[in-house]
Amino acid sequence: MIEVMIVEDDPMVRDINAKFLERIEGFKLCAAVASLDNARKYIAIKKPDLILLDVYLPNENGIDFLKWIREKNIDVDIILITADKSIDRIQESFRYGAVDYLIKPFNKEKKSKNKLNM
Amino acid sequence: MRKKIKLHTKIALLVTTVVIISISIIIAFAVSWMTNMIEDKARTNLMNVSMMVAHSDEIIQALENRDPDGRIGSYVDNLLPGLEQVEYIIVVDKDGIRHSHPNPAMIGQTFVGGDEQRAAEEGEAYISEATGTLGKALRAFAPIYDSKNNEEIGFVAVGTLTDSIESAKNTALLYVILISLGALAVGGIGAFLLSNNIKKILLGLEPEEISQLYTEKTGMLEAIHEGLIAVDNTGRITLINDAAIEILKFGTGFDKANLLGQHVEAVIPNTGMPNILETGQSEFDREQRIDHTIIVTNRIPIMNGSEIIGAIASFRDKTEVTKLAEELTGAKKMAWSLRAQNHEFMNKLHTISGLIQLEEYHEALVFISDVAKNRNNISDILTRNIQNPSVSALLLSKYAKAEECRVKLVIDAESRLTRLPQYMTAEDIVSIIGNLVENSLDAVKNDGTGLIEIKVLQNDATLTIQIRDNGGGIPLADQDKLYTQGFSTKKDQRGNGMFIVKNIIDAGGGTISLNCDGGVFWDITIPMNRGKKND
Repeated sequence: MIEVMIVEDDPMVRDINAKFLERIEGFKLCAAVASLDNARKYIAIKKPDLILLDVYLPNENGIDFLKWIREKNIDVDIILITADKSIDRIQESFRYGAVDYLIKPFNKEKKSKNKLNM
Repeated sequence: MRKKIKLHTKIALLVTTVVIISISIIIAFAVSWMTNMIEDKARTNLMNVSMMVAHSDEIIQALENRDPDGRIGSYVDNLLPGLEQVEYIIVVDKDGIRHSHPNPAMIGQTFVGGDEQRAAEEGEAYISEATGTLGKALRAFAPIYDSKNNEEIGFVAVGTLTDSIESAKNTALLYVILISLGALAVGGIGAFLLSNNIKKILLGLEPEEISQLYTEKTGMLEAIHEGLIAVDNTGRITLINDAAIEILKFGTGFDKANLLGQHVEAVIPNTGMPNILETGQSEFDREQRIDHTIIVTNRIPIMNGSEIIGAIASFRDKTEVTKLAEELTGAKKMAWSLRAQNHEFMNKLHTISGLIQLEEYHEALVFISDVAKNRNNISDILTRNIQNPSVSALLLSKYAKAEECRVKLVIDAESRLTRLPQYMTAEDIVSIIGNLVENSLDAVKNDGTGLIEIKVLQNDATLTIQIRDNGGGIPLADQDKLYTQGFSTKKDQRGNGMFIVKNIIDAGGGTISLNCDGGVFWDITIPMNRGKKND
């Protein structure tokens, strides 16, 4: 079973994504957090295999979190979730080892397809 | 192109030339005067000696007796060593025979020269120049009369060689030239020192560079938008530019000419310049209210080594600075705001799309209806009730920012703003609300529990602005310092926000009160009418 952590500040989006995840076989939600502080805290406790990371968070940036993960050498896959298609940002995320990205709004088929291609 | 001569070289050359010309004129006069004097002296001397010899009883008696024992020769030999510039004394009897001569072989022989007739035949005393046996000479002739003074019994020729006069003249000339060379050397050194001193005073600048600097300085002072005031060490204004006069809005009767020389405190009573003169410490980006103008000023001391010789202040109208800053950051803010709104919009679409895919149709409808209701509410308030576009735009941008930060921002439905208090601008109100809401956004939590409520009420007498949040409040110890410039509880902040808010409210004759019961509650009241502006 692949343990997944969702990092998303919008509670409605967080709930929807959690529900999508629950309907995909082989994946299990281990934590859903609203801020990067909490993400840093729960990554040590829950040790997820995959993180669904929102790029825009209040006063924070998902890319910075990605850099932090690489600096700390934490073994976890990251899929970025973003609302824009900025090529620069997507390329930057790949440089820091993101495995894929999803552009909102996406459907549960897209999410499951991406994960199965991992 | 011809190379220009440097100023200090020019001064040195000029002074040296003047010295040379002066010395040359002095030399010419001195030489002419001295040579004349030497010649005159020689002539007088010769004549005196010849007269003395001609009237000497010893000579008269010896000549009357035809000088059998050579007394005339002895007389002359005794006399000559004591005389200056007399080469020879020749005593001649009425037959033209010499009775004395430097060359003893010539004694007893006939006098030679040809210029002696006037003395020998006409009894005249005179000076003449002729070539004798000793060479070219200047000689004084005087007749010798017998002891009864009746008959001429001879004459005396007292001479000096022209060469000896020339030699005296040359010696005098040499002295004059030596003295002149000394004076020239002193003059030259003086010229060099003077030119070096002038060069040092002018910081090595050439006159055209100084004039260019002056033109540039004047042009620059008037071209810049910053106000500039410089004072000397007593606090008197030494420089003020047009921008300063414009920014400080001096009334009529204050022009540049009559401001210069006045004490700065007489012109700007609350100026910080005397403090700079006293401490020598620079001050940067200080805000200061002068009458109804808020300026942002830098003040620095002017030092000469360790001595404070004055101070200079540069300043701008804060409204101008703010406008400029807003113009510069406006585009950035716009981009940030668009991205935030896009993110927010996509989140909403994602939620609706997710709810539909999860077949939670009722939730989807409720969500759409909630979003629409909120939008309508805020849109209604901002378009109908708040009739100032700047204040509406500010509230809308803060609403979007709060939404992005997961903070609930509620604008009271009763809010109303149809006109501004007298003498207040929309920027003043924007500044008050903007600063307070920003502080609240920093204070409340971003986890969905943060709440900020804004109420803007207006009636005929007053404008009331109330802002409440459920953040951590402000510690009692910090409440006294809140309005002090430079005080901030936030990192990397300059601590100007609350200082500006208080200044605007004070200028509008209003009040601000703070209640920290369960967060922060600001209550601001500003009168709508104030009578005359300077009341």
